[in-house]
Amino acid sequence: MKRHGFTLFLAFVSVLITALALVIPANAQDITPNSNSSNPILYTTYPSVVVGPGETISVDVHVRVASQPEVVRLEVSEVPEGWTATIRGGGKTVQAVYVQAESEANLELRLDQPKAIKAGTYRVVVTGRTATASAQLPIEITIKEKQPSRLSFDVDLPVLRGSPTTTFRYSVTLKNEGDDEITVNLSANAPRGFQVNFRYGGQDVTSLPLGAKESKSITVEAQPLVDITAGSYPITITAQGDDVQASLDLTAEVTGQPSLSITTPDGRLSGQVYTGRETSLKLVVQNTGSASAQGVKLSASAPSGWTVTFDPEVLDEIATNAQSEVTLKIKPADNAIAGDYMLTLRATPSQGASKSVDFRVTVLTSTLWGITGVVLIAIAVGVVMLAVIRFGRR
Amino acid sequence: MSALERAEIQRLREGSPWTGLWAVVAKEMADHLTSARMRILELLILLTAGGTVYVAMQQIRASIGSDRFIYLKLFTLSQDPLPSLIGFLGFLVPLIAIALGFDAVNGEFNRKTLSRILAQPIYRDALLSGKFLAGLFTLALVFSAIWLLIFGMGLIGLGVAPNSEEVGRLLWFLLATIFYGGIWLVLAQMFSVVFRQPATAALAAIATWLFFTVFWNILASLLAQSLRPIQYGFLQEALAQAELELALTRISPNTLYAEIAIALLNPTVRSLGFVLPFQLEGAILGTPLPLHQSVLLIWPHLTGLIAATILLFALAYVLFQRQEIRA
Amino acid sequence: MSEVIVTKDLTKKYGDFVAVDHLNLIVHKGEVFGLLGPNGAGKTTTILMILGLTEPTSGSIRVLGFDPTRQPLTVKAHVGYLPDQVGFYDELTAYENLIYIAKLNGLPREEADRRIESALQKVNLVEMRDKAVSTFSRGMRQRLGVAEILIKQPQIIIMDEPTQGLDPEGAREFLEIIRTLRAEGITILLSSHLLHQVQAVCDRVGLFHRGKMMLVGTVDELGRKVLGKAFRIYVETPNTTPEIIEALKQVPEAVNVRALNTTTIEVEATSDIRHEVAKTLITAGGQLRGLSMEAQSLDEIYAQYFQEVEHVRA
Repeated sequence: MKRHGFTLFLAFVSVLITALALVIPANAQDITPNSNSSNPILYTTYPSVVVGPGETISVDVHVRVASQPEVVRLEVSEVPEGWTATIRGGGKTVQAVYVQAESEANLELRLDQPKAIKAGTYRVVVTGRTATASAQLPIEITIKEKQPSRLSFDVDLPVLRGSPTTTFRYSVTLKNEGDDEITVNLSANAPRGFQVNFRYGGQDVTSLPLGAKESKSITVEAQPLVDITAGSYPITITAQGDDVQASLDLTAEVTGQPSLSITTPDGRLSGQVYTGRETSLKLVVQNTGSASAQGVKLSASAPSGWTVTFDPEVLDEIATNAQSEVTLKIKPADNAIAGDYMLTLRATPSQGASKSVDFRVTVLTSTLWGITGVVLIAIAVGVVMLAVIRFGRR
Repeated sequence: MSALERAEIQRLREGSPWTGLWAVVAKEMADHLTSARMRILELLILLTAGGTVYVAMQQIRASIGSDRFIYLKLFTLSQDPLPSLIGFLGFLVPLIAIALGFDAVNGEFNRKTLSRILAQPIYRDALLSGKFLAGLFTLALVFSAIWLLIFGMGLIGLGVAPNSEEVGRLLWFLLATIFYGGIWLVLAQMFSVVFRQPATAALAAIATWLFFTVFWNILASLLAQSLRPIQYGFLQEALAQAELELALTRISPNTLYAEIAIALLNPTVRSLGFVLPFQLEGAILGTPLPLHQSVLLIWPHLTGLIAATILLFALAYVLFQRQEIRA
Repeated sequence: MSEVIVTKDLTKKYGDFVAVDHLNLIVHKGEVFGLLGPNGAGKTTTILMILGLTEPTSGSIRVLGFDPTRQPLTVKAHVGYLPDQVGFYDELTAYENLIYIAKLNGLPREEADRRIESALQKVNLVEMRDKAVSTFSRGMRQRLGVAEILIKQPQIIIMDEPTQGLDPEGAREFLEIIRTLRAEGITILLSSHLLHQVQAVCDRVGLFHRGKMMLVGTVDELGRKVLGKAFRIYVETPNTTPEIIEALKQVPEAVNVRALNTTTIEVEATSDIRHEVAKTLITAGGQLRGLSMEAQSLDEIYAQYFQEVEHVRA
């Protein structure tokens, strides 16, 4: 606490010294006006400047003398309240400049606005003094009104067409028209069945910063759920800044597509068949797509020697969210070995993607042989019984 | 008197031919289970089972796998120089079975007990049948005990209870083992009817066993080569020869038992015969067969063993019935 | 029901060999019947046929009214059989051997135990009850065999060569047991080739040879029949005359008289008639130098008889 007090005291002292230093020469100039010296000339290229609020203003100041070299003392004699003005030369803050005869020195006047400033015109006066004369340079500074923030969207292709499996990608440009940097939250209002993401720079974003007058290209990805029906879906995207917002209407036109799946009534994709015997299994072909499937052809790839047929082989039409029952008839080769086999079943609509599914078939050997074994044992027992009848009871 | 007339008389005889059967069975089983001969063999099989199962368990623990069938592994895993349990069973079972049967009838003759027993109100049918059943029951008892012991060792050593599939497979295998023993038992008993000296009968039975163990495979190979020669080098010829050889080797109970063991204890085995490459097209290899399919696979083998046991018994029975009591 | 075993024209052939040839045998209730004959005479075959263990080739048998070929179980339930060589399970005890037999006879456990105790008592083997049969002497085994038969409380006991291989003391004891059994009213059929032991216990005896019954009768009858010429009196006289021989022939009960040489006369008689012979000789004027008699036993006759037959066969 003590130490801070001391530092404050030192600062007070140094300010006092600086003030004295400024006052003393001024008094000297006043004492000796125009004695053996020419009048200094101060001028600037742009005596009236327009800037935005808060901007640092730099104004060039040129000093000339007439016949003989002079030391020109410089001073900002008039400055609006709250402003800070410094004169700089050669990279340093200067109070005087030595000017050669018939030449000029270049200086810079720097002005810092106070934080809260109103728009309007302000006057700054720089005074240059030699031992004998002085000159004044008035500069007018106009602080102009600030630009309000504004967001805008721009899109080239607001309407896209695609199947339910496609991702609708809209290239959207978001622009900050204002002078302030703002952070923008992005949101979308999409119908059910759509999932909307915003991507910027390869990443999913929900908010992003926008500098003054900056614009960024965003990709809006709208992913429909597969079972969505065909139709036109409006998507509204909204960018929300601090107190500004912009929105854009996009349209996704979903065209229909069949989507087939093969399953069984109980959902298990496996079955048991006996060697050399035709076994019928029930299959269900479903269309979960957004358009009806036409002319669905059923086929299977099976081991050689096997017969795999479908009844019917072609399904004329499966409406959306409908299903058709098909009988799968499997007859393994006569010499097929018991165990598990893999069949690939395929449903191919006349238009659209085909669907294949692996079907696991367990081949069983006929229990007919089992009966033969039992018969064998029965014969053996019969032989014993005959022997007992023939030779027994001795 | 012709055989036909005798059969007629026997048909007219009163009473069941099986009177006293269970008395014979009970006595013979008591004899088997208390005889020094059986004690030695039981000890032998106990040591082998314990040893091989212990070794198998070490191996199972060493390779902690998610094998579904570790109890089956207890029977099949081996580690040099110790063969697996099924390897041991292949010759211990016939040994025990022959030991149970080789002096069944000639022993009674030599001890002069036969005529005294037959003077009791029983037919002689009951005697041989009783001895056969007692032998079979003894085999069943001994092997069931061994099986339970192995389950016990597994429970303690592996800490996992066998699943129903394993229990089912091992029960079927137990049945097969009992009847594999049964066929040698009834063969030994048949020789005990034919030969008056128990040593001769034992030797004949062991010789038969050796013949099937060692020589039959060689003989089957030679027979197949001479009956189905490969003349033009066609695949069909080679296949026909190999199939004949396989069929011939299957006359041997040893082959049947070995194949039963393979199919029951390795659920992934799908066939015991020849498999042509096209038969494996689309097959998902390494998937276990369901139990009833494995059983179907060995069904001919198993029923064959059982039927052969019964038929051999019929033969021994006829031979015994035709014999005169007075030595 | 006094005839417990009846055979009619019982014949058994093994191929061409006739083991039993038209045998007609009747054994009465309560008697001890001895079947006598050399080895191979068909005794054992006959016994086996009576038990139903062998089928006769022809002829018929009735045991206690049952046909052994048709109802062997009934016959065997009522007939005890002691084979010529009694064997037991050596590693088992006497009791275990007997309980097996009891079970084969279908006796319930308690009844079996009761009968075993009483049977062992009768044959004097109670203290050997729980000893392994391997430690038994031949005599003890034979007695154990009897005990085994007694368990089924038979009406008839058939014994095949029961005294064979026994020492004289053992045989005597065994015969004593047979007498006891007879006293209990059990019919006993025993076969033997040793007559002198059987003689003592048998009521009736059948002489068996080559499958045929040569002689049958009570020991007395048989003795009388055979002893009709079984007494041979040798008279030594220095002067044998036909008159003396004629005179001796007049002696009652003298069957046959002949001069063996000039000094010896043989008189075959049915009884001991030495006194009459001496008196007759002296009355007839003969000098009596010596008088001796051979009283032949059934045994000797039997042996002699079969010896003769053997000669004939040879």
